[in-house]
Amino acid sequence: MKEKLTGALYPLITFGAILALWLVAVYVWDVPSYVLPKPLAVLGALKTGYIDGLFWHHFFYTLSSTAMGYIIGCVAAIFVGAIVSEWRIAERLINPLVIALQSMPKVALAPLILVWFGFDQTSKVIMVVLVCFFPVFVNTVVGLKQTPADLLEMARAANTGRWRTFWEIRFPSAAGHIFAGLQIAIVLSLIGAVVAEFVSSSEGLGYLINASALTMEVNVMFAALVSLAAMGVIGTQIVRFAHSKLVFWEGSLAATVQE
Amino acid sequence: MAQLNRARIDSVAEVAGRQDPLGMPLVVSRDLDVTFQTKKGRIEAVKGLSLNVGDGEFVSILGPSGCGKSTLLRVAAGLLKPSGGALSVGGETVTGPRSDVGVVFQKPALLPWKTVLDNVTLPVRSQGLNRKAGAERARRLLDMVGLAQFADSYPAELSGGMQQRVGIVRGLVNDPKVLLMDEPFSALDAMTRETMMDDLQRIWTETRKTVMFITHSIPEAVYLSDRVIVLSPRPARLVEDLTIDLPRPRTMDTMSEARFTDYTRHLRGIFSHLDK
Repeated sequence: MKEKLTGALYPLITFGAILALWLVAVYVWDVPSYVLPKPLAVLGALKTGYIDGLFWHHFFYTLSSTAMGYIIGCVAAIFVGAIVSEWRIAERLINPLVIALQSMPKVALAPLILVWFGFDQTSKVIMVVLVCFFPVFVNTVVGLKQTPADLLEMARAANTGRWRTFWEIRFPSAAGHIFAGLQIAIVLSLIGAVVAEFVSSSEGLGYLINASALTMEVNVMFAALVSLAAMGVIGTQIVRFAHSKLVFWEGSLAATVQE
Repeated sequence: MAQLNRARIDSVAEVAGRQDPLGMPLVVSRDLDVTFQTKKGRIEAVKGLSLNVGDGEFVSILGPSGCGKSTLLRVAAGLLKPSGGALSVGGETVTGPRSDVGVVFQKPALLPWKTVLDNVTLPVRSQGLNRKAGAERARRLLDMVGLAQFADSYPAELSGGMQQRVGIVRGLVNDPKVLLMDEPFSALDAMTRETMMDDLQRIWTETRKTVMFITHSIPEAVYLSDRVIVLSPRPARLVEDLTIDLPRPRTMDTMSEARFTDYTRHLRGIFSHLDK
């Protein structure tokens, strides 16, 4: 119980300090409101946004692009990762492409993707798929290649077939690594969605930030940023929860990997 | 004194028929050679090794560390192909892993994401055998090693000794003819080791499996075995084949008996010669 209290206390201190600094900046140093809005103005923007309902549409647009892209990208990455780690030929065929694409900043592809896939949500989803794919793919391959040798030898001595060895031994032993990739991909997927919206969109929180910049509505920008942060935190928590439930055997280890 | 002890053992051994296994030979190694190709060149792990293990016999393979005794076991398990000679089980040359040979490893090698029962029945699933019958056998064996109530627990909830008992049950689950054990107690603390030795003796008495038991502990080998085979440092050759003629069941008191200490002293003597 005491652990829990102090655990909550320290983040509160950090946020309190930031809020204090913000208030000092606005009220003591008189930073103009088109640079730094008053905390209440941000709250006001959030209120008009979410209670009066203007933000919801943008929120769900970004959320659905992110979620769809995330799921497609991660599933594809795990699948391709499994194939690459099981067949050497696939590894040799796919690895050069992966290395070339991996070292390229994916967001630089955003304009090209818009040209290819149009300006509607498809291009946003594809952008997210692209940024999610690599961290999950790499982690899947690394995880599958690190199956403990003693387990593999035990399986071989028991005459365990390839398919069963994969499902019962190699895949579960890679699960921790895969979840680490899924964790990274959550954050990247939001970046991908917002960047795609920056490049061209008339919907989404990325669009909202862009549009508010033109009209100097800094409080709306802040409100959109807070929404994105909330989305990221909630997404991360969901993945973390799934990690601890599904990869239960790693216990404390799972917690240390994420911190 | 040492000479005297040796003579006493030799006479005992002769009566027991020292060169022959106690039952019909089940595991037969003929002129076995195993060489490894490494970056530093060829390493001869086993050279010209011939030995028999009789049906129902408990045989320990004793040797200094790195002498190739584990290599011998890996060949018997079908995990390693010999470069010369052959090893057969029940008259058939071993060419790969088979269902009538069970293996217990140095580390328990349990899957942390599977329950004890699912771990134990992996060989049943792997070989496409009847799962219901397999699970029944598994439960009976778990009961025998005192782990019946842990069937649905996960390995992490078990102590080191319990985990290794699960490993032994997994080795036995397909009712193999031969159980190969690769230093199964070496990672356990001394106290656990002693209970495990007793447990293994009991399991062996109840199942009468042929056991090849790799170890580098002399008392462990003498305590458990019908015969102790000593291998030389690499390349492994047969140095001694000693029949242990001590009444069963052996207990901790057996260890302080004169005959027991004679055997261990004799083996220790062989070891000290090997080092030179």
